[in-house]
Amino acid sequence: MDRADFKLLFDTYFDAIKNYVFYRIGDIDIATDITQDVFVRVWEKQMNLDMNTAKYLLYKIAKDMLVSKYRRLEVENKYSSRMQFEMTEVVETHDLDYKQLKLKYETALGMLPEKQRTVFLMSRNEELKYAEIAERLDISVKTVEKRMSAVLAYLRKVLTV
Amino acid sequence: MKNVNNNNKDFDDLLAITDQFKPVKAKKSKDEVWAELELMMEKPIKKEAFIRSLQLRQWQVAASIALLISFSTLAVFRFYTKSVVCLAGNQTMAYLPDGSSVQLNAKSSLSFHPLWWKINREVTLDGEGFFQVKKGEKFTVVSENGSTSVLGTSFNIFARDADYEVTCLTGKVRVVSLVHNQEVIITPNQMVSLNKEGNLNANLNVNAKLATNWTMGKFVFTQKPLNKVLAEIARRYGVEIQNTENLDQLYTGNFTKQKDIESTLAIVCKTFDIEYKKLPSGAFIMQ
Repeated sequence: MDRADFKLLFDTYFDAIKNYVFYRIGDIDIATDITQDVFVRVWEKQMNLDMNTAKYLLYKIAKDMLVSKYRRLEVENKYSSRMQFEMTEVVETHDLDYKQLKLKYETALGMLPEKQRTVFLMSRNEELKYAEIAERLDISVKTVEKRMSAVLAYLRKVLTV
Repeated sequence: MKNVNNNNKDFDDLLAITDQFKPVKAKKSKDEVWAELELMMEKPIKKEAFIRSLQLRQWQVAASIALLISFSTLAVFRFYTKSVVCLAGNQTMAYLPDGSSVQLNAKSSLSFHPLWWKINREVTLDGEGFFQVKKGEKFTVVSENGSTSVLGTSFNIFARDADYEVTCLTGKVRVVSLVHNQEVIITPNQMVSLNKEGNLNANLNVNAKLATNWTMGKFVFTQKPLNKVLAEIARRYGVEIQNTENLDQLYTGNFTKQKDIESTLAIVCKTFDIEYKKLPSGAFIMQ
């Protein structure tokens, strides 16, 4: 794999992988580090990834790396249980308390099982189709649907109180 | 019902708002990560050493122990050795696990691996022995200078010091010189010996019965240097005969072992007019 290929791979998938890791563990800095490690490994092992299979393999490597790193982090108790988001272009005229909604939303996501949260955020934030999510996570579309509806049911209960 | 609809609408609105929430920015931007990766790419790719934990898992310990036990059992079966030693002045029969027998002449020893016998019929011989081998897989007799292998026959081996002589009585015998790696196959009434240079010399017409006459308490010498004749006599009677080194006259004779050594010595020494004296220790000295 030469530098041009590697650069293309990085530009195409860095954000997607970083967000995926973030959705799972809820800490953007750790997620960035892990994603960097994923690309370091791809380079050092000189994996011959063609763009078709690269996506699936990158998620797989990230998943594996997460398992080993996350385990250590859990022991060190460093990870936060609350997802951290920031607001972009909020419509000023709305009379809702955005800050309070954000806090509720973040806490609710933190309470969700990791797998459900990941699928939900990949769908909402990355705007990926269910089939696309299923392919990246190596699960079935049915599973994606199930997890989505579970998350929506939970959020409905929590956010509309 | 209206309430539920309201609820749905509220929720959809809320969800629409949450779409505005994006992950917080990481301390390290994408460009910074790429800069670090570019630095990483400058370095030569390091070959990852394969590191293995020294802490053995339970099954590894169990497997090691099992392996150790089976190897030591195998070693016991392979190397457990039984020896038969025949002292000077005696003759002994040795019986092997398959019913083969070896008659050992004076001052000879035989060793073999009884537990390994089924897999490899191999004995080690130092001295002289008359073998009667039961039919079966290859049977090998190893001595210092030669090895003899057969399938099932009878044969006599004389393996002392540099001498190595094999005489075949029945069947086929293969003799290998361990000095020069030569081999000769002999059939009944043939004899092969190792000469001074370590080469095999076959004598294709001998009376093989004579080679085993020692088993009937006889002495048989054919063109033998006198010092070897006296050495044989010394072994058979279990006494010491000194000062024989220079006696290289060739002797041929065939007689029954006498009760006492002096009568035997008289028979041999009269031929060459050699005097001998008995020492107080019981040894004889040639003059």
